[in-house]
Amino acid sequence: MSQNNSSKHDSSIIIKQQKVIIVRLLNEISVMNNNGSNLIESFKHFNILLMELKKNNDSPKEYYKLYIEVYECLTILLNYLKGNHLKLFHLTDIYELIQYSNNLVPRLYLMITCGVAMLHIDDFPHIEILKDMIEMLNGVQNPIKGMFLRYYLLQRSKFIFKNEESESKEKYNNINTEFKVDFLIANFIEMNKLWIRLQYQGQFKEKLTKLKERKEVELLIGYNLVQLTEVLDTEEEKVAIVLYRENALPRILKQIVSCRDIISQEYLLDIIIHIFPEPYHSDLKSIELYLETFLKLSPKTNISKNAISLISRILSYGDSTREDNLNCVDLEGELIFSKFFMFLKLLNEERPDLPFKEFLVVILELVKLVLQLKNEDDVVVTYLSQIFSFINFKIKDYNITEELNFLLKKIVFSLKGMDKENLYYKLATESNEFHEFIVSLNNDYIKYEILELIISSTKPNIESFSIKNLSKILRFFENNSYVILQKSDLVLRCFYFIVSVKVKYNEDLEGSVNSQFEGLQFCKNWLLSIRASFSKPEQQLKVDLLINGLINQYWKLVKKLSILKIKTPKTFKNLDKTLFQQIFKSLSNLIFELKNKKYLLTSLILSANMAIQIFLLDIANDYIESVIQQLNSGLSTNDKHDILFLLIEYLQKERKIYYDNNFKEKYEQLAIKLTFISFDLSNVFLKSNCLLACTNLWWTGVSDQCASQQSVENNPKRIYEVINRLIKYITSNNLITNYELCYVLLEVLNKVVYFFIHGEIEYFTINYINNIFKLLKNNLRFLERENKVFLEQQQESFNEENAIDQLSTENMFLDSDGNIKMVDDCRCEGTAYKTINIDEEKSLVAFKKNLLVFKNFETLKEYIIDQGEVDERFNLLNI
Amino acid sequence: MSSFFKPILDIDINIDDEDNRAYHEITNTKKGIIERLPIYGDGESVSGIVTLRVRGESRRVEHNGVTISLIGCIDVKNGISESNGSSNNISSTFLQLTADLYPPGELLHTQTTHFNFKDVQKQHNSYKGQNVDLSYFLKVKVLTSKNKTPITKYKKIWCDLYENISQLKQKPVKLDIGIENCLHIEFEFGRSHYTLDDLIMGRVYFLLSRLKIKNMELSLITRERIANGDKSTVSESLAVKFEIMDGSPVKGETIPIRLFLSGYDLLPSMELGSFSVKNYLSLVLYDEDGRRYFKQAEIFLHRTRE
Repeated sequence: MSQNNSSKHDSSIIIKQQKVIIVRLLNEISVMNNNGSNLIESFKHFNILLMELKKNNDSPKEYYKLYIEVYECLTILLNYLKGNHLKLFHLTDIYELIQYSNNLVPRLYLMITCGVAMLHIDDFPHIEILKDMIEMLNGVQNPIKGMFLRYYLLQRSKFIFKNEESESKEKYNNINTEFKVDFLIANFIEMNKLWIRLQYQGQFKEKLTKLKERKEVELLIGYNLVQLTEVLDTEEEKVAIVLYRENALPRILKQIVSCRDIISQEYLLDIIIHIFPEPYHSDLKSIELYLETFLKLSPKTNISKNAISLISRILSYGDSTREDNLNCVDLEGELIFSKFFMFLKLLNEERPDLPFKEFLVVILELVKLVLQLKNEDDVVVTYLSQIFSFINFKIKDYNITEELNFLLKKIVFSLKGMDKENLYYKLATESNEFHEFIVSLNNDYIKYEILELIISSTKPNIESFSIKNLSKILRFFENNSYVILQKSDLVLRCFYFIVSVKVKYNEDLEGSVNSQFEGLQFCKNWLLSIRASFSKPEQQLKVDLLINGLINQYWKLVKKLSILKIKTPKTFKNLDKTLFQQIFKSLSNLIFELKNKKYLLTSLILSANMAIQIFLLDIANDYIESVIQQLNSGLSTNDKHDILFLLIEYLQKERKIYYDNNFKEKYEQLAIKLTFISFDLSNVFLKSNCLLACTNLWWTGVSDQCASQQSVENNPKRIYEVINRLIKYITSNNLITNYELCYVLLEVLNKVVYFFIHGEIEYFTINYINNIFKLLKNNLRFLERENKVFLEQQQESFNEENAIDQLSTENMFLDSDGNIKMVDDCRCEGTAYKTINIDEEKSLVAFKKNLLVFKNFETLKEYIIDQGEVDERFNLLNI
Repeated sequence: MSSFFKPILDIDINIDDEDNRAYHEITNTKKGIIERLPIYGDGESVSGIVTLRVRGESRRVEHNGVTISLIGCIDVKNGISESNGSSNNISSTFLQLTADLYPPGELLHTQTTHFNFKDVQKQHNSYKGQNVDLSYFLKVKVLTSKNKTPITKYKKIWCDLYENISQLKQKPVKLDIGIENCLHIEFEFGRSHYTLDDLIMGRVYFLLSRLKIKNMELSLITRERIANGDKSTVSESLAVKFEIMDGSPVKGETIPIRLFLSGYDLLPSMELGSFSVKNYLSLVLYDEDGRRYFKQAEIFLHRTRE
């Protein structure tokens, strides 16, 4: 190492010493203007200093340093030769004189310097000189020396390649462009050979060191191509492109292929694609040449990287022409695509060794190209189908890893953000290949993400949302248990499209309703058919969610009809009512498929509600009847209560419709039925809750204007009976606790006061109410006693501060089932409740419940006192 | 000592137009002097003035006649003589022209006379080699009476013959060199005949190269050969040594050869009965271990007028 350093040091010293002598010699001559013998003397010294470049063993970096120093010295010579031609000597003589140097490398450096001096002067045959120089350079077969010599030639002669100012252009117009191209390519080819040889020749070094050394000199070879761009730049673009594709490129690529060297192939292709202007690459013939070349690259050379950069160059050309001028040469999209696609196919045939990933990254870029081609949507879909068919073909042969999956997903996602409307939808519905592609994906989550993308990018106002297309989209979900079970909302969104399309009110109303109905039916059948594969109970519940969702869509359709009824009653009347019946028939079929009884019944009630909106009372009644029938089987008490309560609400709400349509008897019948069922509820709280609700069935809402009718339709006797029976039940039953008794009485009292306020004094007399009060107050005393006992028991275990917190009932209230619920946070609109901690001691809960009953009682009392100021009757109540 | 043997007569030979004539220079390294010989061509007259100066005042020198001769002869040095093996040089004369300057008589003072060998045909080029010289000279001989050794004076001239090679049939020189499975090259020159200021162009093709070649040189070898019955003496001199390749080529490479001859001191090829001078182009390859591989091909050099 140190030896190396010292020799390098010596070299540098020698060069400096010789330089001093040379400068002196050449300066004297210019002053003395003698016969030029000093020039000949100086060649001796040039030879000595150039011998330093003949030495071996330097790393390219060191060699480059020496080269720079020598270059400076030769510049002195060059200027001297240029300046004194004809004055002191004739350059032809000097050119010959130089040839007598015994050593090749110094001789060639001098020859180039002299030759270049001649290029600066018009009278010489420039082309011959250039030919001569480049031919003689073949003598240097040492990689480093050869490359630097050739680089020297380029550096010195680069002025002929440039498009300089007009004067110099005239000056060098005796060298035509073709020759310049030939010259540069010849030099390039030789340099590339030397560059590759650097890898295999010379001392034994580590492979890595050699690679590093090669990287260090790659710019030298790239310099040829840079000059080539300059040359082509002197021509008009059209001419330049022709020159490029007919002349330059084929030869360069041939060299790249035949050199069979990975580093060379990768570096050269990379710079070619990057340094030449975009229009050159976007030429069809050029593309063809590139692609042919890619196919022939050495096995380990990265093909995809180059293909990608080529496509991106074409893309950016497309962008720029679009921006510049719309009339500008447009890319011949179809041909470009077919060329690239053919390339993929050939690549597949010829290079079965390539990993799938290589194909995918190219495809990813190709997709961008397709989207930019400005073609009709249909064409884009066709192209993409071809691409996906290729992927489908390839995918079978590979083990698909997560990385590949990610790429596949990326390909699909790259279609996003383009201004193609509903491209995904079109692909999904029109391309079988795309369908196959999605189905064949082995990662459920990615599949889901893609489907999500398709569906979310689809705009609902598509007229072409036909059953055929629908079926295609739904097919994506088949066999995809992940989506069905985990991401069912995706399927629901799909259902949503059907009804979200606007009904055409004017023209073919029936037709459009019908088609939406058909869509729903199709979904229904589809849903029922896929359910077969989800037989486990927890899966069935998930399917229930889907059914529920579809039911919702049915309702939405019905809702549209009911809006129609209100907006344009005439049109509505003309509609075929059998269609409605079909809809509801289909709907009820669907509802009965629900496995969850509560859902089922709830849905039935809500459907009845819808039916009645469009005067399908028979259907509504059928629904209600079947709900009532089903009430007694397979429901928990709570659910039963909920359903019952819904029924009561429904009946109460639709009371007017029943009455208006001569269904008064039916109403009565139902009301009585519901009351009986309410009585049968086993839980005291729920029972009282339902029964008190039932009382409303015989009571029209508050409406002073219809006061006369009210009295006719209200049935206070029934209400009285029901309440009395309730009171009787709770007071006579031994199993009723004090707390339950108080709670129910309080509720009853509330209800009674309600009727009392609304003027029902025939049955609910002041006396009657006072009696209930009395009863309640008596029983409340028991509760007070219970609490006292509790406090005495607990006094010792509580410490003072905690006690207040623990015994507080703040933010708590009693629910309809008699249990405590809590307002989670007061600021939170009061909607978030949570059941109080069950671990809390039972007695503490009981204590709190009692407290809350007292609180409610106080509220009632306050209310009555308040009312007393408005209504004298209240003052008579004995609270 | 020298004065004792000093001849009584000084002879000067001056050739005509001495100042304007071209000279051939021969460096004699032993003596450290440069000999300058006037150059004559074939068929050129050799003329000049001979001055005879008698030493000492008013002395007479009797003589039996003064002649001048133009002699061309070949001298083989360190003579490998055929007969007695003595180390004397052998000389054979191929040209001897003699003219009388003065008839027998007396020489008084200084006398000058003109001589002229008109349109002398000169068969051979002058040559000065390692073991053989071919030289031309003028010899003035004053025959003294009484059987004394004659007084002589020599003046060497140099003879360059010019040929016309336009009639020669040129054929390219092609050579195939190979070491099995190791090296196979072809080298090729455009012509076999060159003039002395010619340019040799050619190329070397590497058809196979498994050697680690360091560089390649082209050299021009002049080989002088003296034939002497069965024996022959050969000596070589390296006229040109010229590097034409640096580094190790691979299969398929072509190395250009371009050699300007005019800068070198070369002699035309000669072929006489007794000796020959031949020129060979020699291609030498050096490998990294210092081994040499070479191949030679004869080329013919000719002196021509322009």
